[in-house]
Amino acid sequence: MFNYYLKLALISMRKSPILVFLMVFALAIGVAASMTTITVNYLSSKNPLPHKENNLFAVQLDNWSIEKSWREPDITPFHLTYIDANNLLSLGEKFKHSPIAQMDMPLESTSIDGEKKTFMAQAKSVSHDFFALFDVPFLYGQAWSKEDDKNSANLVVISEKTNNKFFSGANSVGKTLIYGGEVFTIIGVTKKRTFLPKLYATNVFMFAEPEDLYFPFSTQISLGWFNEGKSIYYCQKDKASDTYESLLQSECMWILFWAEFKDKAEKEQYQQFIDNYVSDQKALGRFPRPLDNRLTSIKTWFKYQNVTNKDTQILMWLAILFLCVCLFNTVGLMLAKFTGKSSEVALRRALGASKQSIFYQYLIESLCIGLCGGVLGMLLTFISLEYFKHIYTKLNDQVMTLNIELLLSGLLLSILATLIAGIYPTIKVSRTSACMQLRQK
Amino acid sequence: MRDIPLILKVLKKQMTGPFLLILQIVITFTVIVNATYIISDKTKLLDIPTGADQENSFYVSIYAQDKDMQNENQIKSDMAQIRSLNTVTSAAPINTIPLIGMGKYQDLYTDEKEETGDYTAKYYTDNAVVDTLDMEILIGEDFTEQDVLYVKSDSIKWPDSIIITKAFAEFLYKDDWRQAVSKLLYVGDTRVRVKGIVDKMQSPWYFWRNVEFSIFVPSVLITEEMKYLVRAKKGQKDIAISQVEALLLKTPGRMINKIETLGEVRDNALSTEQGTVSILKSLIITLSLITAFGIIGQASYSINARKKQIGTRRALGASKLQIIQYFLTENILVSTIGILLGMISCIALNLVLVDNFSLPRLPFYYLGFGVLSIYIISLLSVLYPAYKAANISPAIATREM
Repeated sequence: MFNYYLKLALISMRKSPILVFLMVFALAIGVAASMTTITVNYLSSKNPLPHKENNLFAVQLDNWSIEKSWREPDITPFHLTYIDANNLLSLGEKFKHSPIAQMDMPLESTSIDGEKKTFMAQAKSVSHDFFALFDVPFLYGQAWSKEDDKNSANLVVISEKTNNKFFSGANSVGKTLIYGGEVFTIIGVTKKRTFLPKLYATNVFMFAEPEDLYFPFSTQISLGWFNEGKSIYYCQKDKASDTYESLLQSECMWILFWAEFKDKAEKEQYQQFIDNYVSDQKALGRFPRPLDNRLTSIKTWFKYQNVTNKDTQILMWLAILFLCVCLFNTVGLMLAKFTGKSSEVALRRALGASKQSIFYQYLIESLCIGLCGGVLGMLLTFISLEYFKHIYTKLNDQVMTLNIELLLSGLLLSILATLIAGIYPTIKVSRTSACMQLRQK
Repeated sequence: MRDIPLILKVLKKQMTGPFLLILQIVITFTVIVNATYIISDKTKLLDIPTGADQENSFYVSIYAQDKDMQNENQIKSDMAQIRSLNTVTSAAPINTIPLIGMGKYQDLYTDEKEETGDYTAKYYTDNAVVDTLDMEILIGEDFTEQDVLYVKSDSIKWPDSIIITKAFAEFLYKDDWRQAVSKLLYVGDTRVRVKGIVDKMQSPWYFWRNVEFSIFVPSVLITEEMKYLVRAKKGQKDIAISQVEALLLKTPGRMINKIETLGEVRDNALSTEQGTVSILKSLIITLSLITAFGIIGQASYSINARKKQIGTRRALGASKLQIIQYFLTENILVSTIGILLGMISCIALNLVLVDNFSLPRLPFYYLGFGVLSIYIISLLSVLYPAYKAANISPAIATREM
């Protein structure tokens, strides 16, 4: 029966090509507009580590001045001071957590002919737990050890891209590179992956390109490094002087801190740990504000950092309204098409077809239109995403790329949309009475 | 006009088609008006000048591999050499560039209790900045060479005096911004004197509420990465870029990280806004087309269904013009209902946008614009079907009876 209805649907569609084209086209445009904007919004606010939703948290300590909160309404600083990051690391050795700081320095080859490859490499200085926290995949080698953190070893984990650049993709573990004038030994090479939005960053930097290398946070400190011009930092009190030592002693905040817990109990333990720590520090005259230490979930972190672009969000809602217009349009056209068929339906009814079979026949016809609209719509989505990439140069390309999941949901959306659009005309046409029509003839 | 009772009677009988059309018009009206408003809001933003000589200025970001290589003497000698080039009007070391997206900010107050004051963008630079950024001292004085400090880190040592923009002066002294000159401003525990007020300069962040609040601090911030801002003579920017590049690379151990013109910085900063504007424009156009198709389809359908009635009317003496008039009136009636409902939903959507996306309230004349465009779209689309209806032969009434 299905095959027969399919055949009927195709014949009927071929009879009125302009009307069918208009319907398919309207649907396709509506689906394309919605899917394009939904893709951008969905991909730019999707948690890249969904399985760690309840395990991974940003550590925020409220070390701001007593008068007002750091940011209205009651957002506490995103970063920690060096004093606190260092104390949490040394007092909380049993926990899995990592500081994250930013460095930009020239990266050079140690071989003489490598001169030309020098470039400004973006690095994150982290502890060895970082790689487990954020599921960083390795191509070669592995992360450095806890011992290396303690010894401030000159070790680096480089990205696949950096590895391709300097070593043409060969296993470079054990080889050396010069970063910021210091010789570092490569201990691991990370595998390329899509990791957006980057959790361990703030604001627009969550959509920055992946970093070129990672090295121990303790090494950054022992080398006396700090990107004055490029780091995000803010101070509760001014530094005493412009030496590196006074930066470390200061109430200036510049280090992000993330922690991972096995279960709820460990999270509570950690909360207790930081609360105790801050209370101890309060006794020393630090942390003037009321106790407010937060373990911020990934979701809340996204909200703090405004990961979804307001413009693309507005565009999404406008596009969904657009789809509604396209649907009403299709309902109207379908109604016109099906009503034109009433004498044919009446004849079938008179020859014994039940209301139900008429209903199925026209349902299949509207599904065919929906499928065509969906396929064309996804094609248009693909094109308009390319257009988006072309004009939104500052957004990361990867949030504007279709994947299978989105492709299928786009098709589903258009079929669902035609079902909604087609149901009323289908019901109406299946109610055609046999005798009324036949009498008129 | 006398068709109206008749039309209403017909509409009551055949509700679905016109009802769908009204829904389409309601949404189209809502989207078109709000999108147009967002476009004009953004275009306003795109048209604001930064204040700098965008045409002829560029900056060089230079990196020293050795930390100690960047020092006061090196910077002074670099600047002297750049300024002596015959293609260069003026040059200054600076920590950030208008609209570049990264920089430092500072809160300053007129009183110790920090009651009047706000955050401003903070430019670390030297005494050539007013010329290099093409600003004008409206009142007070420019920096002199003696004012300039060379510092390794910010928020420690403040120089005695700063220059502020007029917009910030107006904010501090609402009665008369000229008062601000030579006043002391409070910055934490320190105080600085306002030496001069310049006409205008935007901050590094175009979307900031305080985008026009900038201060200039005569301190050269020495970091591994230095930015030199250069203003070339008219039309000689490209030559100046290659000259400056060659000159800076003469000193070994340094690498040039980036050279960008101020025009590029601004285009880059505003590219997203620009993009949204063009997307919204295409949205409006396609939506109008879809609605127009809807109207054409709907009208054709209803004419097809009423062929016999039209033929009968023609046979009973109605002129072609009267038939066209009938369909135009019907169309205007439907559009008017759509527009009236559209106004309500349009304001509702705007309120949602105001609440959730901090968009400004919609001015009422935009509704007028929407009304006009919907009438134009719907009249244009109904013309062809109405013309076709008028050409239905009266003879059809006699057939198939």
